[in-house]
Amino acid sequence: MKNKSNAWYYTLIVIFTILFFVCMAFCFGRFRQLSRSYMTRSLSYRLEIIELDESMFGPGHIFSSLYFDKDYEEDFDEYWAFSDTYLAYIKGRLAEDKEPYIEEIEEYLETAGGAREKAVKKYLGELEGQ
Amino acid sequence: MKCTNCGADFASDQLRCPYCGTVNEHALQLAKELQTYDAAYEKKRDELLESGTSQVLKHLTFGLGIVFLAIAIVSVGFVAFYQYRFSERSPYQVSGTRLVRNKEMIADYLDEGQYIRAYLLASTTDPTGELFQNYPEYAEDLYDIYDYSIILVGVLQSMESMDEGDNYAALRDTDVTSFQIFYRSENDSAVNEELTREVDGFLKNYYQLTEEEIETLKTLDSGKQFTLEGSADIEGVTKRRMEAYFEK
Repeated sequence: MKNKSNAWYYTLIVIFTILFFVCMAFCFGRFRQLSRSYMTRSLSYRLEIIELDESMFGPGHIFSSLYFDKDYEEDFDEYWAFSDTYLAYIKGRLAEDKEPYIEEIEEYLETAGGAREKAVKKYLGELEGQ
Repeated sequence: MKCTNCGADFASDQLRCPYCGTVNEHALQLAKELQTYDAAYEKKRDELLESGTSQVLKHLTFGLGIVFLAIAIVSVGFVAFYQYRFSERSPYQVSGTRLVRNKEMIADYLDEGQYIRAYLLASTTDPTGELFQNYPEYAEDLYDIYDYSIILVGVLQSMESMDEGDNYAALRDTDVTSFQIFYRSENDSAVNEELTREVDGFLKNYYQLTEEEIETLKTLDSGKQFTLEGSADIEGVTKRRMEAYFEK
């Protein structure tokens, strides 16, 4: 290093500085992406999203939200209970023997309330009318 | 000092005698020495400055290099750790008691008929995703549920479109492939039996296929074209049938 000129050191410092900022920019970008991805998979965020979906698109959208957001946790029990009823309604629409599906929906109706109760009554009416 | 010519007194640092103008050899010698010394001093000073700056730059370069490298390594390590820790297929999610609990929950969901939920739990908490490496005892059923879920979501989306009065999807080639994949399962569990009954129901009651056509689809060799009414236009045929049935 004894023979290195000052210009050599200046060049090295500039190269180090550029590399450092490039590296920091990469880390910042990657970490922001990671933190967002972590946030979107957090339980509280997914609970908010499913409530938002329900309020915007109605209870019929609950199954899609559960499936695509992979909401399997116990915190989603009430949504899964409704989703099973919704699937019973869909399967009942396609089935020749609708009785088991009507029973399943009636069973849910005993515990339902609010917008979901209204939706389930509609499902029940449709199946009974077919 | 005294002038060597006229003997007058004058200051020793004067180059000439102020009275007779005789050159003061001693002062001249001193002046020459001083000039040489000044030149040497300036040269030495420049050399020192040059080597000093070089030393400072050398330390600064190494210092900055080490500090930047250390910060870069720590930052990249930090990001890599969190990427690993919070990745969707992180093995952290399925260790020890949590894995045991997950298995119990899957068993419960399967018993309760919550097949899709069991599949979501297994695939989300397995580092291999849909290969279900952590749940070998349930893997066969979970494969079937995964294939079934693709069919179910397709049917649901199509029915939703139909309810909203939009064009609904009839049986497309990709759907036929999904059904074939599902029927290719050699699992003979109660779960498979129930799902098969449902999938048969979708084909028969939604896509309007006959029992014989469903049987043909089940036994069709891989790579062979499935036909309806002698036509490879499955979508066209099922659309006509579905329109006739659902508009009735």
